[in-house]
Amino acid sequence: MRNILVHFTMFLAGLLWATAPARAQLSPPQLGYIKDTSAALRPVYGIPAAAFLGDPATDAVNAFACTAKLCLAKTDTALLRFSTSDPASAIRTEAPAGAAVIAVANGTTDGAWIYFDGTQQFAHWQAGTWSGIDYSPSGAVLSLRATADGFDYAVVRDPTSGSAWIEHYSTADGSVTVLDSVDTTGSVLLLDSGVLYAADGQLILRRADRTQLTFPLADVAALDVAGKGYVEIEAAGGLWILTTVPGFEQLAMLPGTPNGGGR
Amino acid sequence: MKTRAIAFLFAALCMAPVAANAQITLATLVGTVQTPVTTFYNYPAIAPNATLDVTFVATNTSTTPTAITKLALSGIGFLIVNTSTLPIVIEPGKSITFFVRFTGGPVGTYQANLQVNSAIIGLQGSVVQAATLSVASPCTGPDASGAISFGRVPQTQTATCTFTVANPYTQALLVAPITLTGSAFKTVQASSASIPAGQSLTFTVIFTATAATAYSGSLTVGVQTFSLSGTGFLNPLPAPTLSFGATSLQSGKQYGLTAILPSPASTTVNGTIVMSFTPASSAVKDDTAVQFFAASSRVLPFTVAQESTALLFNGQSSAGFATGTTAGTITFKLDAGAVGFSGNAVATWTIDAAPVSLTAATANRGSTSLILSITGLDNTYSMGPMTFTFFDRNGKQLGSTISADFTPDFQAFYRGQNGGVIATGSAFQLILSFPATGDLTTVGSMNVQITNVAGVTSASSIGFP
Repeated sequence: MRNILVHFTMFLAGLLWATAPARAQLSPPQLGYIKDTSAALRPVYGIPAAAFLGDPATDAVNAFACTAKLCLAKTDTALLRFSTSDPASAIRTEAPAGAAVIAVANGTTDGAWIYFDGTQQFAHWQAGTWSGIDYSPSGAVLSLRATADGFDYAVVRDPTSGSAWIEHYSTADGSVTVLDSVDTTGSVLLLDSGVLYAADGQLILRRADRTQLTFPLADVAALDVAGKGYVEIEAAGGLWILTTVPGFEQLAMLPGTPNGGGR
Repeated sequence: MKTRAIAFLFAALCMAPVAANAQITLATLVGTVQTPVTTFYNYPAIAPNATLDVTFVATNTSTTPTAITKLALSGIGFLIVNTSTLPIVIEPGKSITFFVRFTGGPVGTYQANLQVNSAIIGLQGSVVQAATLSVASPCTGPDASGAISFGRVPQTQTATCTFTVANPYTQALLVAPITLTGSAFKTVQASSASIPAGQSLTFTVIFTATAATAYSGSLTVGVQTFSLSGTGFLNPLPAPTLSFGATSLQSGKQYGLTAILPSPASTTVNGTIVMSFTPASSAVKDDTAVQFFAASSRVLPFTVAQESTALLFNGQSSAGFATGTTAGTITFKLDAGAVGFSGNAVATWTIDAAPVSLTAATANRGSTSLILSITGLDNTYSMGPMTFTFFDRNGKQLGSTISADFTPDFQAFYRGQNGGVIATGSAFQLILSFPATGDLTTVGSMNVQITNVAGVTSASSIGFP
């Protein structure tokens, strides 16, 4: 990383006035972390269409979620929390066996929400420990999203219904509110500004304002938050990375995936 | 014609036994098989003007060296060839070989005596009426040694030749046997035929090259035996047409490479495709992001099935490749191994220098600063000048546009990333923090312009959340 100081003089029409050096950091891009085909969690560098995978930070991962600064990963019996810039400093916490769904808060705190499939239990993770909450929805929980007063989750209550419900759980009063639904029972990923889901051979990115983008991609098996603005997609044709930053949406295949085939 | 050796007794020409020369024994040699000859050897019949060589082996069966001091022929129609200068000393248990050629002549019977030291062997040969053989294209021959070639034939293909057996005599000629050996050669011709005077017989022989290898056989026509040969080979693939689904390549993109043959492959072929990259800028030596996804490599195997025109890469009809983040030229070269290509199986495409390409741009507010994060690539490695314009939530510009030149910083950044081969090419992430005071929530969006040698890139309406 290269730090640069540039002197700006800013005159902002009476609303603000500032004159100070601007701090700039110039570095190779790190898009986040992805789970590779051998279930190892590896950093991704570069840009989506010309990405490089770094050395594994940990292996035997069955779920994970990353922000720009931290990752929380679930192995069979533990949670691992590490800084994206220093994966060697991982903090390990025992956790219920089995798969999980993870959502890391994108704020200044490093809190996260977790759903343990094995115990069908929601939990809040903070500072290296987790604590369960007394709420369990019926159905299969597909995704979580941290919010200011709790979390949103996508759940399929009836596999024959063809839809997944997006609901909100408030930690303030324990209330549950139905927010939305998507027409799929496949992979769903709740994003800060929308929802990404797979349906009918397509990957659909639906924004909060209901606008949506579609990407042709068949046989999506898993969606994970690789980093801020990036989602890893596991599909039959290989591993992909989707840029979700508004205006820069792009689907690209990750290197080293099983086959370089088309979508 | 193929040499044959058949020994039998010929009582009329019985000579004295080789008692005085018991240390030397004689035999004929065909292949690796020796057949003892004691008093007489009868050559197979040959056609007029043909010759027939027979190999004789003289072996010293004693325990002491023995010299051959006499090796001679008397008679008509035979000739000793390739002999060494006499005397020839043969060590105990060792042998020497020499050849006796039956040169024949007009139709008739020929006799001669072969003398080896004191041993005398009677030789007899016959010249009989024989048909003449000719072959039509694509076959060639027979040459002086009786060789007929079917030439080179693509694997799995056939070559059919017409053989003509003519009777040059004034009376009918029975040609027997007519036989073919060699599994690659087939004919429906009967095993014998009577050809009227001055007439001819035609038949076809089909050579099938089931594999890419050399084949041999023989055709016997009466007293004449002709060798047959043919070679199967893998037909070179026609050079494929390579395409990538667009008219031009751009940096920071992924494409699917397809390769289509102009005509179906005559056989299944496995090969490799190799891509290489030459940067346009001397500032870098390579861009390792230029690669095929499948193997994270610049080499990928391909297969094209028999009767197919599409090359398959790991079973897929296209090979995904990345163009990296550097301007330059990408070359794809196909290698079909021993089969090869009949044309130029190479494609070279240029990735032009382009303005900076942004892959993400976000803006955020800190407590005392406005923070811009941009990620992108500059395939010219020349970026630097930038401008920033802020807008309020109603889209009204706040203050004047700010300019800054980051050229030295980017040059230093790229040098630091380089070291010969850049890991992430020209990809960069620039996070700019603009210290500010006041109510930062009034700032709604910002525009950014970035300049490099290829032009100006604008990112408009980067919204603050």
